[in-house]
Amino acid sequence: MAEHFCKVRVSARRRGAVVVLLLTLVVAGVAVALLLGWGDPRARKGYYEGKTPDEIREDLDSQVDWYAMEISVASTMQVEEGQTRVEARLENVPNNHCDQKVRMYPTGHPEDVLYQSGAIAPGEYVQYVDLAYALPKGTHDVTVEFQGYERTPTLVSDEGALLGHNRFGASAAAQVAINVVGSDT
Amino acid sequence: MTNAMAKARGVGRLAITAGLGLALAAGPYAVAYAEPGAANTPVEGEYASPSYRSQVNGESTGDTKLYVIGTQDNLTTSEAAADENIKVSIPVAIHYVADSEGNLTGPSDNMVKFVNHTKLGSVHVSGIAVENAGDARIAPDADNLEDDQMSFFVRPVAGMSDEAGSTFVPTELPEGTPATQRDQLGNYASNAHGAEQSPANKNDWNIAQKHGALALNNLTGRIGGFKKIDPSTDYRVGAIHWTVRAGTRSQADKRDASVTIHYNSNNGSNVGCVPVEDQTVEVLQSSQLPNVQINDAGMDTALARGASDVTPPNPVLQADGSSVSYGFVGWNTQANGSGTFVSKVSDLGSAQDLAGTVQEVYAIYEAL
Repeated sequence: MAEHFCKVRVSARRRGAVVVLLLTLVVAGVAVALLLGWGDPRARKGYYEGKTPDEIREDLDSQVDWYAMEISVASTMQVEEGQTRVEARLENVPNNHCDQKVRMYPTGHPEDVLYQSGAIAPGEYVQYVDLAYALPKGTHDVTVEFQGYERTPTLVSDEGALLGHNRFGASAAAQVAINVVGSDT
Repeated sequence: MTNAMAKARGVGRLAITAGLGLALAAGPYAVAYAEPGAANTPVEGEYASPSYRSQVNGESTGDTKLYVIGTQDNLTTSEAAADENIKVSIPVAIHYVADSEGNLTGPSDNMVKFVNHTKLGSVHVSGIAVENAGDARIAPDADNLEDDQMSFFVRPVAGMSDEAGSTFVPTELPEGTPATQRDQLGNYASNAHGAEQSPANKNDWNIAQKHGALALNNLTGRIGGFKKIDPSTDYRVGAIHWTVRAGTRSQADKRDASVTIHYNSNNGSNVGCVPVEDQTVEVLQSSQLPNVQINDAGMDTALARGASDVTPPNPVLQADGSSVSYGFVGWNTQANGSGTFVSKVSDLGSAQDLAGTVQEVYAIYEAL
């Protein structure tokens, strides 16, 4: 009797797993159909055959403003020795057309990440950030890099993330100074 | 022109934007994507005030959410930052169209531009790195391009840009310099992202105070031929990573070349003046020593402090770590290239002039 009961339970679990799997596949299939089935993969932007250079430029000019991204960050920051909380005043200005993620690293050493933000929407700001580690006393040249992202998620982003966001153009950066002062200063 | 080029149907559309990354990262995007600490941009002078009201029987009520946005983390008065934000509008994508002759046409002059929204003053482009994407290769030599190699030209032109419009005054090119060789993005292609290179014509990349702008003109280029690049689709061929910095380029150079050393006297002993603390410098190799001279103000300062002779220095880094006199400041470095500055005041007439003072010698250095 006990053995039979166990078999029933195992069987129920298996059925549950199958149902979950099927549901997942259905949802994924619907998502793929919705996201990939709508746009024609052969569609291109612009039609330039037979256009004069001036006409081509006119079309390219119309996109320039859209792809201008404003960055805003404190030009110098100050932190007490041994502390990691810094007033960075990272701002994604309301006029931007993209979300922004911000990364900070010592200039010339992008692998040494001091700070990495999540996405900051246009009109949002981050006043203070916590550095990954306390910098030694002195003045440090730091690069604050802003990467824009499309606001609408896509099925697989250009960075390979499922339901991620494609990058909005190239990154842009500001070179700033972080002054680490003694606690008695 | 190659066969592959001839097969191209007249035009192709190329973009310089971010490259492709293929690291698969599944996850709860909403949690990972949004910055949890982000707040709405504060609006100066606008605050919501809570109000309280008793409910009357029979009166319907509705909810109105009131939001209060704090301009600081707490309500105590904090010291205002000494500086303001550096705010610059930067082009992050430029689209080109390629014709069947291999010519690349970009946007018109004075359209693609940096705009300085910073209140504090000038900014400048301090670094450029150009990354390839896909099968495209960005090269500096426009005359010897192979398939899928391309070159891009750009000419920075300073001006102003505000709500009233833009004005740009092209600077004259040196006589005999082909416009296409003024600045080629391919010159920056060897610099990995994160190791941006200073612009070659450094003074061309300054952006004036608020509303100052820098237009990227002459946005043209050449492609050697289509082999792996499909001209029938939008093709991202690379990314330009721009880095900006506060101040003009020459101001930044001066800051980099200058050294601030705080002095305390040591009982009036001529050689006893020592820095308040050792100051570590990041890298000091002979080639990186700032080539400095003592300017008039610095000379006056030094003489006023009692220096008998302040000789404009020609610094040479000694491998054995011995110091080299800079007039009244010496370098004392370690052989491994990093080290500390220590003062050397042997040329001062009297260290007693420094007694009880903490002074800066920032002003005596000026980059050549």
